[in-house]
Amino acid sequence: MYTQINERVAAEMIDSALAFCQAKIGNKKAFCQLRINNPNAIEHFRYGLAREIGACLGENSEFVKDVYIFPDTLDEDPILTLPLTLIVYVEKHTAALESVVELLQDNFLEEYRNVFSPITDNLSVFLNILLVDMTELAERKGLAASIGSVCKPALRAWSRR
Amino acid sequence: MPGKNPGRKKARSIRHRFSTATIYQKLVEDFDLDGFISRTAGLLLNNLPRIDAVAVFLYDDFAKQPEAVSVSCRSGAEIHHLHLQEKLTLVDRVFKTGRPVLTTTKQKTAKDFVNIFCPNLQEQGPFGLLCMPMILKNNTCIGCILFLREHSKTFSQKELVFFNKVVKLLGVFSYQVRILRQNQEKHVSNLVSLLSHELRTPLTCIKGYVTTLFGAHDAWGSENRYEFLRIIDSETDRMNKLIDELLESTMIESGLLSVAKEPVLLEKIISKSVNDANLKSVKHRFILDVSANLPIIEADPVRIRQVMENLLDNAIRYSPAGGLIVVNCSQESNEIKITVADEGIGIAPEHLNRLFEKYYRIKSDIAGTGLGLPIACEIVEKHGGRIWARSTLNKGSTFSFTLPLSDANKPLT
Repeated sequence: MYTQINERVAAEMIDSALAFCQAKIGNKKAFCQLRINNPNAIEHFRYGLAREIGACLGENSEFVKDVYIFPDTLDEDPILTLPLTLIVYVEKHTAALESVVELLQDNFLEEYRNVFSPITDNLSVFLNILLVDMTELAERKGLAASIGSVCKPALRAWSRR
Repeated sequence: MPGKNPGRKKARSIRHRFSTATIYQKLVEDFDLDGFISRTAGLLLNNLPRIDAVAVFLYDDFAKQPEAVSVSCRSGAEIHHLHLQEKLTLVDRVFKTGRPVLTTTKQKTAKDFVNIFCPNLQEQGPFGLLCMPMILKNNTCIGCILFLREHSKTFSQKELVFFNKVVKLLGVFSYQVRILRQNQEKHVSNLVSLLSHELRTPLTCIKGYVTTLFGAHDAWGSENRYEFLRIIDSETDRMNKLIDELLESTMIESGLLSVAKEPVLLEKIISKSVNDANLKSVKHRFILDVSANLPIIEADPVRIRQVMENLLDNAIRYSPAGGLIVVNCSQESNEIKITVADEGIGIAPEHLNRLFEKYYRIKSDIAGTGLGLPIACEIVEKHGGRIWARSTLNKGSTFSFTLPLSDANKPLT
């Protein structure tokens, strides 16, 4: 059978990230804390999402090596509508992987808007996945420079190793 | 005043008829070298005052000598494609030197021309003969034009300039057509060898296994026999597909490829195609995403499956084992867009715009006729859709095609 990446897959990832967030924040209801923009809950939730997305990408493409959240800490308190930027370190770019990223971004936005409606109703971008390969990393091009950066580092959320 | 100066009027008319634009237009309309040359010779003869014969010679690469492609005489005789048994020294001289020659039939060389091509004019004369070479930019002489006129009338400077223009045009055109013909001949020869190879490969395989089964049927265990039969079956399918593609390619040429549209749910067609591809190639991984609530569209389900099979076959064929193939189907404004992305070898930019040409293949060592994509293109276009490809070398390709929504499903604007 073939794999499917659709709204249901996105919903499962959001559920897992919510469970991760719940485990981290203790006895308070994670879903409610997110809706009131509790920064602690949102940080954990975003990290949980990055882990799930990393696992999904890693499972579907052997070229995916690591997934990072950028930046590792936000300058201001995060809110539910703040887009999540992920840097995906890949062995090489492929058309198929770019297509998977596109599917994930589209389906995730749809599902995220549904789950946190009406707060997220006007959201036009949530997931922002950027693929960087070895050459870009070596040349420290664009956001690839944040991997291993001392000044504004990206936080590793998933790794194949 | 009208009728007062008929010579000038006639000259204007000639200039008009033979203006560069008119000649170019005729070239584009016909693109038929022989027809164009004989018509041009005829037109020159009928419209130029006091010209008794026009002959066009082209160099024949096989016979290694000039060939009279068209000779039009005032007497009405017309000759096409005549290999000269005896060397016509006048034409030979022009070919060798690349310079025009003006002579009269008092000379033996010119007399030969009249004797061979315009025997009716033998009694008359003497004639003036102008032979102009067709010279290309690289100074190669590929042909010449010969004008025959009564000796007493000289060729004016204006006429010479005009003849020079005609000769130049005919020269360039003849050269282009010759190159085109050579390419076509090469193409046909490549095609024949490709088709015979593609047909022979499965046939050899089938023959081999059938002979093995005949020869020592009992010596092979049931598992082996089953495997042999499975291979025969799959090779027969391959041959069948090849023959189908050839037939469909002929149908495209004759405009007979038809689509029988009916209301279809694309989701089912796409998922069935991906499922089949998955069964065919266990070495590749497939991801499918079909947007929820896709509208029903008017399409030919068999043909759309054919397009999908073709794109998936290509993705499998050009991707390494273990490669990922992603299929996506979503609605975009007035159409449904289907994409197939892979992790294959990719396509260089110089090949990308020729992908949908018939028999065009990027790699000759990978099986295929080069007919799949042109057929897919024809099917999609018959549905009113578009098909295209994006690719980066060594990073894979993405093929996309669209199908229009039926009017009832189009969003209101």
